[in-house]
Amino acid sequence: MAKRVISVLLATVMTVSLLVGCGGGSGDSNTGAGTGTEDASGSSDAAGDSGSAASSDYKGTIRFLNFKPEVSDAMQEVAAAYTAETGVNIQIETAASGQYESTLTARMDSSEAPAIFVVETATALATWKDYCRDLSDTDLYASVTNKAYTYEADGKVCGLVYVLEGWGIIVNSAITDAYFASANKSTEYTSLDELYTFDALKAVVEDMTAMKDELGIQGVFGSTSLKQGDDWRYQTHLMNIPLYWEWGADIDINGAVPEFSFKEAETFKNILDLYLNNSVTEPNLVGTKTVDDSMAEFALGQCAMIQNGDWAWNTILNTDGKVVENDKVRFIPITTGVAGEENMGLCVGGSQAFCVNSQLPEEDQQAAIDFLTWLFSSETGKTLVAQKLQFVTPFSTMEGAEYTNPLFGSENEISAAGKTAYSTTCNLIPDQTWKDDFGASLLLYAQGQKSWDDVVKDAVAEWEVEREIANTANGY
Amino acid sequence: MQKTYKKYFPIFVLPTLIAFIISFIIPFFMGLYLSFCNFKTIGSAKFTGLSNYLYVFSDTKGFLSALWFTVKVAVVGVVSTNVLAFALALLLTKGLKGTNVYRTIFFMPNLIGGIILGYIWQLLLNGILIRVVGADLTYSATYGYWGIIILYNWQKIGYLMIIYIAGIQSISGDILEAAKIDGANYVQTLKNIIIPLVMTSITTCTFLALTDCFKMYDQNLALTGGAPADQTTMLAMDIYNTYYNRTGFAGVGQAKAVVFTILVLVIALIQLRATQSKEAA
Repeated sequence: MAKRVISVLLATVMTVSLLVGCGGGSGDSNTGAGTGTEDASGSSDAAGDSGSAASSDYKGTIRFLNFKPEVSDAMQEVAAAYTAETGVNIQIETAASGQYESTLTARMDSSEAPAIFVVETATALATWKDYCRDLSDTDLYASVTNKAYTYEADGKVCGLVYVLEGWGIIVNSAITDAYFASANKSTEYTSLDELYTFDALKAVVEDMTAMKDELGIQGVFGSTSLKQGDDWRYQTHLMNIPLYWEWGADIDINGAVPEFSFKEAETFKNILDLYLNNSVTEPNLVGTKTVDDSMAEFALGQCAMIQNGDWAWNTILNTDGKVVENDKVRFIPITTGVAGEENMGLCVGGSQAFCVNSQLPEEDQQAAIDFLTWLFSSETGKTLVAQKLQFVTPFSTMEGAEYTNPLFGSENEISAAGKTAYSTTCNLIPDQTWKDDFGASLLLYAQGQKSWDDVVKDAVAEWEVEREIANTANGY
Repeated sequence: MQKTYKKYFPIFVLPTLIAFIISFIIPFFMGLYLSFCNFKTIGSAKFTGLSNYLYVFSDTKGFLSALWFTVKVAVVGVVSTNVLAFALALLLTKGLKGTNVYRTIFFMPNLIGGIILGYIWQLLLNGILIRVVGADLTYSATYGYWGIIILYNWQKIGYLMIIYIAGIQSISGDILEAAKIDGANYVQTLKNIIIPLVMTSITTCTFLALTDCFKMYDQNLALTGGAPADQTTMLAMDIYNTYYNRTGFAGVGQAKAVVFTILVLVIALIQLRATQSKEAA
């Protein structure tokens, strides 16, 4: 009898420990909430005084799945600041580069679904619209300066674009100035302001390559990072230029995926060849280069130019042994040799939008909205956004914030000079499959294993397949 | 005795059984159902019949080419790891000096995660390739293929070696001595005594290596990432890419996963039967 009791006890212990093992996470958070209740009941009067934005009545945790790896550290500072100011727990997780969709899909199915998530383009919105709360009644929506920066579906406002980004060619003007001042140069160009056509850019870049020892660089451009997963600067951002010229300025970047014939394939090849042939890295070795490698080369002064966007400033700034000076970092537009490009500026647009998860309890959604409002309208939040996250946002509440990113100044100069910005036509690329395959194709071309004609042919053929898939999924 | 087993069955098996049902059986059948659906998250699944499966078998570029590449890796990988592991096991049961140190050293690569191994080998192989042929791993599928084979061997040999060592050590010294007295040379002893007596270990090891090759993901991802142009994508990675990289393709990815499971199951059963029949003999 005694044995029996013992074995039953043992079995019970095993079962219980199993259950505890599974539910460990939720057990912890419950305890946290329990102790929180006592604290809050003591301080509820104070919370009442401090106004609605900082409501510390919320006991849960706001989960936020961040899209941008380059601000993941800055996001942790934001979270700490919010918790310090309001006492509300916020947990920010950052998805790895190129893995946002997969991470989000996995998290949405879990019991720790994010309250705030990011949808990259209106094309991607279709997948998530059932998970989006209508944001039309929020203060944040009211403060959006241009309603083109909101994603709408099914008659509700699903997402608010939170960052306007510009990309082009980032230049270390200390090196180009040395070139322009050199007696040995063989072009007549004397300033970056003249490099608004492909012919001018090509002439200067090739002359600089010839003089690279004198200029102390290993190549004019940083490595053409075509490693799988790091090829987005080409298969997405550079692709924006030929897509813009093919479809024109009036294309609806939030609409259906249009047809594509790669009309500007030759001009795309122009700039790609220029990158590959005047780079720090030999063209057949670019398959293992990452964006971080390229940005480090730029920060360390090993190259003079690199194609990237204003978000790259944090990476440059935080590179160990950075030699590039803050006030010498400037933008010039990407030029490819299309007629009329001398009037064009940078590629500028909003691509990522915040969405609030409608599947969560109302109080979680409200807490998420409170956080976003705080981030873009409180003094602390605004400073963090402008100087740590370095987002230019379409919210009127952000007016008067002080930015520290030198690339923003350069962007403003270019638009003040009357140059038209390229709209973000790359938002209409059907899906990741097309981007990955096009990137792989570009790598084979760089290694000399695939002819340019085949690259173009495959890109067009595959576009048709993926366009069909994306448009069907989005109900067009 | 039999009766006692029956009586205590629930006490000893139930906890594990419950865990197994929760974490394996239920997800498996949910997955099976989802492979017939169009879905984004599990909550939003819509039944669509066989269309996902039709797509899997009509898409020659993705699934079938990944399958072929995986088979190639598996054939060479299983044979090379087992032969080398067995050879090492023979060597390290001879009572050489420092045997235990060598056993530990050979086993250690198995303790490192596949992702890290992948990156380390990527650096090593690129270093050699760039020097010797002036190109990197992404240049040709052949480089990627042999890279995966080398990496897999390096990781797995030590583990299989331990199993073989256990098998060889369990052979009774009497039999070996008898063979020696009868005048059998080393090759004869190996062929007629050692190999037949470690057949159980061979079954275990080939089974492990085979299923491992088919399920390989992290080493593949970190070493080649499928480059060039998905030519070195193995099955597991192809399934992952299908699931996440296209809008509305989660169902197709799920269908691929089901086909994949059945495939691994069938191969493993055939292989088990084949080697077990030798065990009995």
